[in-house]
Amino acid sequence: MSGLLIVGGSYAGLNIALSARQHGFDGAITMLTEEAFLPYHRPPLSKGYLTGTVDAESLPLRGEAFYRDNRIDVIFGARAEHVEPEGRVVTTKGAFRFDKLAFATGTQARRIPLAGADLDGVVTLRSLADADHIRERLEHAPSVVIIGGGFIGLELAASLAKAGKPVTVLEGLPRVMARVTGKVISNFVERRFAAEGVRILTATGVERIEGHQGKVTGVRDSHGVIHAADLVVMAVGAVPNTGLAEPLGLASGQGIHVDSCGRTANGAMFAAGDCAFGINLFAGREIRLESVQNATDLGKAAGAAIAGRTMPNLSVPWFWSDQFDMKLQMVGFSQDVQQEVVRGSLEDGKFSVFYLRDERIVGIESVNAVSDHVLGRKLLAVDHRVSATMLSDPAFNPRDLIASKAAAA
Amino acid sequence: MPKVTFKSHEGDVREVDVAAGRSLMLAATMNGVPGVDADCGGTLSCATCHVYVDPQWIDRLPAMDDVENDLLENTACERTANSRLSCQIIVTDELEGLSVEVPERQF
Repeated sequence: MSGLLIVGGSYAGLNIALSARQHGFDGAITMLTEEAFLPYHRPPLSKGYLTGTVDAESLPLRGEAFYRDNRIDVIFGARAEHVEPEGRVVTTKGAFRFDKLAFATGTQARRIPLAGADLDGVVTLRSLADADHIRERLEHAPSVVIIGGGFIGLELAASLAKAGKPVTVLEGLPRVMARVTGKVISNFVERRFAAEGVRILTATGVERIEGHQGKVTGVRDSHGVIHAADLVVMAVGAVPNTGLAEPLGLASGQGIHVDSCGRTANGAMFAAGDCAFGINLFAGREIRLESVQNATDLGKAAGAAIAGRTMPNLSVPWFWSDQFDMKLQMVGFSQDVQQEVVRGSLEDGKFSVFYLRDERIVGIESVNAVSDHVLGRKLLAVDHRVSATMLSDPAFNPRDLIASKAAAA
Repeated sequence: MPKVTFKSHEGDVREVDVAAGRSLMLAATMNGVPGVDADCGGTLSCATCHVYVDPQWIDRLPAMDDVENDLLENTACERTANSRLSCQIIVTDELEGLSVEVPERQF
């Protein structure tokens, strides 16, 4: 059966399918997933699902009724092996024809090729199966070392600490989350983890992973110190799954190249989500974003394009991470900024860092300051002007920047 | 199993079963109720599971906390006195017959 074929069953794949239907695509829609589950929420895998407060029944993004109502056929356990540009995808579950093809192939956890990386007990976290595997192993793992102090590494560390497990985090850069947040947030989070008894060693790389009889026993860091471990989690980022698109000339190491509507250079092929690299209209440059928000919004744009509608992804990027009682929320970007202003109270653990470029707020990073974050999602999308001095005044309400805009309109 | 009712913006009515202890958001997403996007999965990060609770029911629901209150400031459709995030409403036997309306859009 031809129609729309979607390779990948997560946020982007689901939203491509839904958006194509909503915009009038009436052909068959088939979604191929390597996994055994309908698309599911991934953020709980390092948090509630690991600690047991979230169960598997509450993970699916949508229940079966949704797929039936929208005539989306999901093929489980189908690993796509290659794409024939004439209109066929060969998978481990047979070949599937397409008129239109969407890559929603996501990423895979990056593995550093260290000595000992293939030892039993060295794991990564990306999928539900990975999370189940880690959960199982944790029962027999008195000590855990996490390589990487990004979102996933820190979320895992917080979950394990909550469960009373001694955990060490090794971060190669001088501060945690250096790729995704500014210094103020990094330093605040590091202090919070220290207060919870989690050992985070920054500016500490990994030399090798130690083992005995094929099983991991520890990690030797770049200073020569050995940290004993029964379980080592490599949480060092992700690489885009471009293997299917590269032979077609549609991808590079940066990802599958798309425009702001998720269209590739091939008129019948589209891509969205973590695997997609292209112009982000808010950022004003080509990037590849790894986030639920981007997978959802670019997926919607791609679905519309598949149905013949041009609806570029104009969204302001946002991200979140929950660690202990800290609700971290980021909107926009904090790179290439000129000024930063902290509002709120670090002492009370409720504050936001506002980032300015040319008297415009281009990014806000919040800790337990939801109203700042939600304001940012509106404010960053519209034209506004504000100075650092104004913003530094606690009596000034950034909400007025939207209000005055509306009044002027 | 309590039954709850979702009315769409266009007036379509859908009654669904939900196990007591599950959220109203999950009742919607698991039963394919259109218009409850639930991007963040109920972690109070996104405000895309906004619903308008039937006025007869609004006072019978547990009060909202500060985070939900703050997030409701960002709903795509206008917030009213009956606005709630469905992820924060845990369905119990006492809520049998609860009725809510789904806004026109969530983003």
